[in-house]
Amino acid sequence: MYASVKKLTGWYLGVGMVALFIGGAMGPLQKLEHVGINVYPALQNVGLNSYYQGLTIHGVLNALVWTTFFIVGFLTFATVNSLERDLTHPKLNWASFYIMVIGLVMAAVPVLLNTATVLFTFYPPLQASPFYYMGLTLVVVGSWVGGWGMFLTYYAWRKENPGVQTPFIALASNITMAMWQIATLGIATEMLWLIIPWSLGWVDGIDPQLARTFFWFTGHPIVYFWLLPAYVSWYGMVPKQVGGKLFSEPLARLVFWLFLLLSIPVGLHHQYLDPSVPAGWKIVHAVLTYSLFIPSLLTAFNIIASMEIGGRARGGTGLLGWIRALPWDNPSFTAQNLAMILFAFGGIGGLTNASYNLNLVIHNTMWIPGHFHLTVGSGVTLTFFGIAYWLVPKLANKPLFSNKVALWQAWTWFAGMLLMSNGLHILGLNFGSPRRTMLGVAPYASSDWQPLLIEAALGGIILGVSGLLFYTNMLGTVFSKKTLTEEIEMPVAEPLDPHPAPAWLDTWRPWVVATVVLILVSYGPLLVNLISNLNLTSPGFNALW
Amino acid sequence: MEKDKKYKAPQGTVALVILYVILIIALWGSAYLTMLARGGTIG
Ligand code: HEM
Ligand SMILES: [Cu+2]
Repeated sequence: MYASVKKLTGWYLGVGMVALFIGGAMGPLQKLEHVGINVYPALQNVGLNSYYQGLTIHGVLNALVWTTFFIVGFLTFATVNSLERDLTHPKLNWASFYIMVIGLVMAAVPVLLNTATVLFTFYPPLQASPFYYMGLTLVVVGSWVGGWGMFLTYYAWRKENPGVQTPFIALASNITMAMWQIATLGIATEMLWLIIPWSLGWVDGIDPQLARTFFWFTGHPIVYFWLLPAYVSWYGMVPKQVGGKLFSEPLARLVFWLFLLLSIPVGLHHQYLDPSVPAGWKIVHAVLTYSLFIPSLLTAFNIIASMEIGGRARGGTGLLGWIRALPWDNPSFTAQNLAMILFAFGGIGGLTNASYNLNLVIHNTMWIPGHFHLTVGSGVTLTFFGIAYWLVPKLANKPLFSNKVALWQAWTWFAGMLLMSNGLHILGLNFGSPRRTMLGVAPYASSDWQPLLIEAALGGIILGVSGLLFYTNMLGTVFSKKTLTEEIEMPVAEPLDPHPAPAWLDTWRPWVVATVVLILVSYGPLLVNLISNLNLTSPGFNALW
Repeated sequence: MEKDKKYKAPQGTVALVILYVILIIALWGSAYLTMLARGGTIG
C-alpha cells in the first residue's frame, strides 16, 4: 500500500542514516582525544584536519541532518498510513526531499573542506563559507515543503471525512510539523537577514547577540522537533507493540497541543549568560520552561500506564512484575524502552539546566553534552533505531537481518550511554570541565578528571560498537535475498477508552492563535529592543582553524 | 462512564512515577547543594 510514500520514506531514512554513520564515527575519536590519544594528525591525509572540524561534522550530521531526514520521512509515512490516504501532492513531497539533499550537499562540502568549522550552532562572529549557511537554510526550507505536503494531505482527508476525529498519529505528526514551521522562523531570519549577507561580504558586520537570540528562538523548539516524533511512536505505536492500549488518548492529544504552545517561548533558557538579555525575560522563559514539566510528566504516566496494560495482558502480575512480561525479545520495543529510561534522566538534567542559578554551574561544561546525549542521542536516536527495526523491513519488504544483533545493539547503546553520560555529567558539575575543548592538551586539565574521562571514553567506544551493530543490521536487511512472507503493518495503538476525545482536542485554531500570542508576549518586546538597538559591528572571524 | 469491572488503576505506573519524582528531587537537589557549596550565586 502507498508504494510512492514507501519509496520516499526509504530515501529520507537512507540519507539520514548515511549522515549519522559519518557523523557518528567522529564520536569515539573525540572521546579518545580527551584521554590523550590524539588521532587527528594521522587522519589529515583523509581530509580530517582537526578535532574542531570533526566536532562540526559530528554536530551537523547527527543533530541536524540525521534527525531532520529521519523525522520528515517518518512523519510523512505516519501521516499517510494513519489517515489511510495517499499524499495529495506527492511531487511536492519529493521536491522537499530534493531540496533537502541539495542543501545537505551545499552545507557538507565546505564542512568537509574545513571552511565551515564553526560547530553546529554556528555562533557569529565565527564565520563559515556562505555555502554552509545557504545549505542549512535549504535543508530547513525542504523540511517546510515536506510539511506542506503533509498539511495538504491532511486537509484533503478532513474534507473527505467531515465530522470524523483525526486519528491520533496523524494529528500528532501534523502538530509537530506545524510547530516546526513556526519555530524555524527564528533561524530563517537569522540566516537571511544577518548571517548570509555578512558571510557573502555584502555587509561588514553582524550583531552576535541578536543572531544568538534568533538562533535559540529555533534552537529550543528544535529539540522538541526531534523528540515529538519519538513521542508519536511511544504513544501511538509502542502500546500496540507490547499488546496494550493507549491509557488515555485525550491526554496524549492534549500533550501534543501543549508542546505546540510551549516549545517556542522558552528559548532564552539557552541564553541565561547572555548579557544582552535582561534578567526579567530570562525569568519569564525559565517559568515557561518549568511549565513544560506538565506535559512531560503526563507523558511519563500515560506511556508507562499503557505498557502496564500490555504487560498485564501478557500475564504479568504484582506491582512491577508486568515489566518482565513485556516483549523484551522484540528489538523495536527494547530499543524504545531503553531510550525512554535514558531520556528520563535527560529530563532531570534538563530541569537542572533550566534552573536559572543552577545553570551558572553547568553552562558550557561537559554536563551539557552529557544532557543532550541522553535526550537527542538516546531518547530520540535509540527510539529511531527501534522504529527502524520494523520500518526498514517494511520499506524494503525484507525481514530484519538479525533480531539478536538488534537486541545487542539496543543494550550496548544503553550501557555505553550510561557510562558516557555519567562521566560527562560529573565532569561538568563537580569539576567545571569545559565542553567543546581538546581536553587532551588543555594545560588546566586536572588529573582528577582522568577517571571520569576514561569512563566517558569507554562509553563512547561501546557506543561506536553499538552503531556498527545497527548498520550491520540495516545493510543486512536491505541487501538480504529473502522477501517478507506477509506485509508488516504500521503498529497503531488503540485507545483504552473507545469514546472519541473532546472536540477541542481536534481543533487547530485556538491552539495556533494561543501559540502565536504567547510567542509575541515572550519574545516581542525583547526582539523590538534588540532590533532597535541593532549593532552590526562585529567582523567575521574565519581564519581560526 | 460505565466502568469495566476488571479495570484496575495502573498501580505499577503510580509506583514508578513516584520513584521518578523522588529521583528528580534527589538529583536536582544534589546539583543545588553543589551550587550552595560554592557560595550560591552571591560569592
Ligand atoms: C526535559 C526537558 C528539557 C529541558 C528543561 C532542557 C533544558 C536545557 C537547557 C536549559 C539547556 C541549555 C544549557 C546550557 O547551555 O547552559 C539545554 C541544552 C541542550 N538540550 Fe535540553 N532540555 C530538555 C530536553 C531536551 C531534549 C528533549 C533534547 C533533544 C531531543 C535536548 C537537547 C539539548 C541540546 C542539544 C542542548 C545543547 C545545545 C547547545 O549546543 O548549546 N534537551 N537543555
Ligand atoms: Cu532548550
